[in-house]
Amino acid sequence: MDLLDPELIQLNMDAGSHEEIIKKLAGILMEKGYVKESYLESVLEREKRFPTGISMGEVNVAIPHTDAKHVIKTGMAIAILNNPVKFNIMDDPKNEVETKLVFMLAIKDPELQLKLLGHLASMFRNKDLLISLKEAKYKNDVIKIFESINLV
Amino acid sequence: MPVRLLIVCGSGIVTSTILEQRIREIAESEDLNITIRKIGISALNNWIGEADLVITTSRYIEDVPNVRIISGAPVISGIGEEKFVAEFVKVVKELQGR
Repeated sequence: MDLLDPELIQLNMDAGSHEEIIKKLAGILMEKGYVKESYLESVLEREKRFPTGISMGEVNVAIPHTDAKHVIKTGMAIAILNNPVKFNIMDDPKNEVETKLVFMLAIKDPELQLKLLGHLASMFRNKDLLISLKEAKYKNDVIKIFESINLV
Repeated sequence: MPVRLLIVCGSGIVTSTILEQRIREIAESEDLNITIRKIGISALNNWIGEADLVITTSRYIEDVPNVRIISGAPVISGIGEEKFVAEFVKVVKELQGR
């Protein structure tokens, strides 16, 4: 299971808005054969209606994604941004969070990806881990962090 | 009679799956008798009539008569999760006792 394809880890990213980082990550997922062309529009549209920013105090994250019909195979693109972008908050859509960590999910069958989703959830509770992820400078740092939670 | 839970998120894929896993763990450790249906919010009207309790990560649910709604967002962020677990267990036990 190539859940953490190193080619999908994007460090030192610059983006002026959440739309821009979503476009960049969707472009990479498409180029690598993870998603269909329709994925990008669908994620952008979904983000408007059901935003995916998660407010966690110190380190916020966003998990843009969409329906499985736009996905070819499961994968996760990770962006670590130089400067934060704003995402609306999932359970409080009128408000925004600033985040440097974007996990863009391409999920083909959620029941088969329970492990990935479970690990993501436990990662979100682990502040130290999120902080080290936010500070990561090399792909290897990111891979090691994921190895530490047995995701790869 | 099991308490019928409806777990709802934007598209029924990511956060509802995370919620479902956690809720199954809680139900097992607290010995709660529940059934779970996991859906995207667009399917809410189709299933709300068969639910006793809704748990959602989204804010787009209007109040529905006779159905309790609890925010599952603390399960995703980890912030306030203990409070969520306490409320969830209390509500399910109340519903079981009807």
